[in-house]
Amino acid sequence: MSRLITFGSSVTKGFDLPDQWAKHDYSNIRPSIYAWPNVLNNLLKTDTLLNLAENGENNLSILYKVLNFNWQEKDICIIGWGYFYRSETLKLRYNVLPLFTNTDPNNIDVDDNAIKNYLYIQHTHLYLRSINVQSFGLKTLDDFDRNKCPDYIKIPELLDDSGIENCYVDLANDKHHPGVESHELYAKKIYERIKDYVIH
Amino acid sequence: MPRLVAFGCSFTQGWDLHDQYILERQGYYNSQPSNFAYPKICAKLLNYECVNLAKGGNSNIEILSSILKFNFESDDICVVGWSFFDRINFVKYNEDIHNFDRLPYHIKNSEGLDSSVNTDSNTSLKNYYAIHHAECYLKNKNIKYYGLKWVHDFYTFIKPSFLHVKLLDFNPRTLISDKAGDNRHPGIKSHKLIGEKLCEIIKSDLNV
Repeated sequence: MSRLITFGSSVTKGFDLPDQWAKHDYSNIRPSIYAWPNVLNNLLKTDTLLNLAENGENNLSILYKVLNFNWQEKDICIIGWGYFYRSETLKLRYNVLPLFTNTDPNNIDVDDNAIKNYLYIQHTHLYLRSINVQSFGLKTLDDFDRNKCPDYIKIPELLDDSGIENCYVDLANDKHHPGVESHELYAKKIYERIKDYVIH
Repeated sequence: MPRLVAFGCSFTQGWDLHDQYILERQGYYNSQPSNFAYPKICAKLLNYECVNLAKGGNSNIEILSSILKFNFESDDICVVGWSFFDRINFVKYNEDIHNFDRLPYHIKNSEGLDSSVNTDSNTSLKNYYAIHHAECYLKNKNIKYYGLKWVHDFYTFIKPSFLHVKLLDFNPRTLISDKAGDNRHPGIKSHKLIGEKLCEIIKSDLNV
């Protein structure tokens, strides 16, 4: 049985899309059925979708979750990588999710933080490759344009031109996140990029 | 000739062993890896060329960075003498990843000593992430890898249970029998013992 497993932040979860808007309690809410992972799951015809994205997610937590996930043969993992600054406001702890600290995001060394994030991203994809799980990384948010990846950190799974910015044709109810049509367009864009590589 | 490529800190470099003292007199203080350091001993026994890229003061993130930058060949063997854990809190991740005010002189002013952030738990995880990262990288490149736990930190910091790393037990308490010129780092006999022990492990692994 093939499974599509997605990680990411609010964009990947489908923040404030119609099925989320009505609830008003974002803490326990399920990912939206209108979010790009669900659309992509239909296009790829995978048997199951597990959208594990969380609002406010950061790249260090994604690495942690990937390392702790119970992967199966034939799983396909797609990660909508998030904002770089969020990882710097974290404290690591033994065997539990990273904890937020009081670090002021305005005081973060941008270059230092960018390299850390690229290392988290590389580590994640290397791990998945090492256990034979096919993975793709999306430069969903525009931090990737602002922070160049050092040449020695090679991440072939991280797809160029995989941001959501050119797919914004409508907005979610918060007037900030992408709307239903934007998610659909983004899913199709991802599908076009990966369809020839996906094995399931 | 296949290569044994070593990464690490002063221990792997062979700090203050006899040939480093000679260099010191010539003004090249501890600048080159020692011929008496365990990577050279091991490589010689295996009939491999030794490329020792260890550098005194290296933290584990710098070791990871050196591994990611190195141009491996398919028949290389990679040996890593992983370093002290605290150092990771004093490193700035710039383009080249260089040390940030190395210990111990600037401790008080260093952001690395923010005790609310850099707890033992935090420090341990950062180090094990770096080690696990390197292992995944080398595994994907099909490079044979031997990681050595031979600093005390591996025996004092708790290892996160979800990170499975393959490390050889080279406990310094049992393997370090003499001291180098600085009376702190392992001496020639200790390096010889470590080199021979490592060689036996590699030989048995390679079935030679």
